[in-house]
Amino acid sequence: MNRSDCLETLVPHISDQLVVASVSGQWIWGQLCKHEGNLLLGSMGNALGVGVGMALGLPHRKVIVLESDGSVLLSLFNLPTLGSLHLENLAVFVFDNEAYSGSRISRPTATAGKTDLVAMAKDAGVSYAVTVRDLDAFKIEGTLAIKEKGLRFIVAKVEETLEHRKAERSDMDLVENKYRFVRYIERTEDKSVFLGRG
Amino acid sequence: MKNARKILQSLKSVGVRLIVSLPDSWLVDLAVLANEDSEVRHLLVANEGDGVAVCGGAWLGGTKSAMLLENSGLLVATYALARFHVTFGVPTLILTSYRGEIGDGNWNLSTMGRVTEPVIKALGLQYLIIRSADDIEEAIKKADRSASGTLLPTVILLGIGSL
Repeated sequence: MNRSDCLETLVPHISDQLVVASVSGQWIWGQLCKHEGNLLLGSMGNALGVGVGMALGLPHRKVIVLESDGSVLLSLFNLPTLGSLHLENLAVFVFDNEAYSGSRISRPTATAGKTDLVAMAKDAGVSYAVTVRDLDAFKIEGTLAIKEKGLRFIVAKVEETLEHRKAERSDMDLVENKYRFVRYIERTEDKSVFLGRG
Repeated sequence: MKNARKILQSLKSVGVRLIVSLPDSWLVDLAVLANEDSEVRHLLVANEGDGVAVCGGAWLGGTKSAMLLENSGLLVATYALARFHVTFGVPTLILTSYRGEIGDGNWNLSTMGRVTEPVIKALGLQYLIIRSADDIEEAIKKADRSASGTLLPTVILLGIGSL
């Protein structure tokens, strides 16, 4: 199973959800899904916190966070917040390739060994956390996570590939993406976020 | 407690509806009041990097928030502030106790007193220092106005005499 195949299965379910992607998979996701509700962060370690803040402020909107093993390992401090709040409108997908592939060295991360992100999430208070290892299981869990209420934390064990480096880059820079995202929020929530400058 | 009440009221008056905190002993009254206030949601976090990211995410969804932390925690939050808030232009109102500043006399925090302002400057953030609770309402108004206008975090350093 690779990350791209997993992400493809999510695309048909996207309508008005808000999708926060860490650097993991954002290029692929940005190409697969042109949704205005995509917020592509371009960094590791921030997506879970940002997704929690968004889900807190917009409890009637489903927020989906796309994460990676490296990014979650960098920001494990997010897990107690996730477990304590247990937001009903949040779905977290962690694409775990068990490798430092972003740095182009194929060395195993802690999740290739004894570190179990699902166990860590559960012990932080996340009641629904599962590991999936094949695409059929991912489709089932992915659909439920998006469609159903309740916090879900899905760790997808994916192959290490260099597909993200081959993905076509968007001509939209990430700050432009932020403006598009906020304008989408303003339009769909009928509220002002930007107060205007100039 | 009186000063904490004034700070909370000032935050609410500029539209803050989410307060995220990792309080130290100077900020604990404010955190207690925020916890009891029905007009704001109060969230305690275990790490300030998490806290400021939550505040930024809330803003992107249209909810104004404030982060309360000790200046030691401001250093913890620098990664999220640099990679997320400053890079993208996401405002957050940050109130931090100014531990270790001259007059505090706490050896253990004196390094924080020396590095806090240089770190804020290195991030390119605007800040002001409050030394009297009488100034807090105006400081919060200014910091909020600048955060909203510049789309960057602004920092209020709560010095000795302000809390």
